[in-house]
Amino acid sequence: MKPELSSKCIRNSKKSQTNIKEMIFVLIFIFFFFIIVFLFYITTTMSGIKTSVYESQKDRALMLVMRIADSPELSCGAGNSIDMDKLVIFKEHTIYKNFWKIDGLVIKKLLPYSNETIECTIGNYPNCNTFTVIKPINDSVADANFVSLCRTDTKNGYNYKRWELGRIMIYTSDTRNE
Amino acid sequence: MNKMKNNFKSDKSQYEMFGFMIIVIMVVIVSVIFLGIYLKPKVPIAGEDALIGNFLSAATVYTTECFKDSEPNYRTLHELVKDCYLDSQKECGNGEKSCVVLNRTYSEMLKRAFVTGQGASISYYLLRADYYLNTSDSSTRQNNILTISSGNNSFCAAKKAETAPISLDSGGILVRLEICKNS
Repeated sequence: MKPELSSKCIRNSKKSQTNIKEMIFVLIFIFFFFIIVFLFYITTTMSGIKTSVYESQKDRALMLVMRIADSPELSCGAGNSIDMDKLVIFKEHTIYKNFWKIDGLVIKKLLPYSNETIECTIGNYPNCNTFTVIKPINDSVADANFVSLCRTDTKNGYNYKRWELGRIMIYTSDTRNE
Repeated sequence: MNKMKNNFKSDKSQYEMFGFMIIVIMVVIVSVIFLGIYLKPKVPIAGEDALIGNFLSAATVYTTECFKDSEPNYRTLHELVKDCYLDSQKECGNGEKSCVVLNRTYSEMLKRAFVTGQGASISYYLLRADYYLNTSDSSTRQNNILTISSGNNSFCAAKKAETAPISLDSGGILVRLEICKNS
């Protein structure tokens, strides 16, 4: 082999080696780039899923609140209203405890306001302000909404419907921090 | 020989340019995808709006201590808003002015329903009742009937508002409740 040819071969071989190195660097760069992008995407998606789960749980609870308020067992005729006369009887029935698959259901009278909590029973009704239909489980969280509370009252010998403001609270298991 | 060398160099440059272009295109595509994900409009939480809407609908039917002619013809809060607009000096059956009862009842209601301040989830609320010549056109607002507010408006992280219309023979009244959530 001529010395000129040999040095040319070595030069070509070095060039090829450089090309291969460049290619390897580019491939490594692309590989790591995609790994970073993938991790970023996974993190973003996971946080989005958590938020979506939280929001859908909250929405579900609030929709359930409205559904309960509109159910014929409790409704006062108008939308989003609860008849307290029905409610005081309803809360005594244990068969409804598992009907809505919730961990607690409490309805509180907000106005007229009373600073002490008086649980309603058939004995003290209507001089009370809280209806605990399902007693909340300790680690459950509440979602609340406003409802109209009505009851039949009497004044000067006439019956009339009295409307008050209440808050309905639904307790569900806390999966938000899991 | 020189020409061949130049051709070889040119080919190499073209390959490098091509590789560089591919990388740039990939980066642009990935950036566009991420921008799309981040700028995607968030679906509003139905529950939050329902909360304010339900408060307003529950408030409008609330039985006040005002009555017409004799008890138990009690006026609802909805009717008191109308009474207050039509005649601000109008008295209830119990001798109090309807506007005074309206203001007091709404204030008490809001105070019990929305707790404002540090540590509370709500920083500020504003309730307004305004008369409009046309309730679907906000520019036709004529006069204010009621304004109640509480808290500090400067800590508003997210604002939510709902309105409840009250129709009159001509025009109408819009009761608007605006709530600011703490950050």
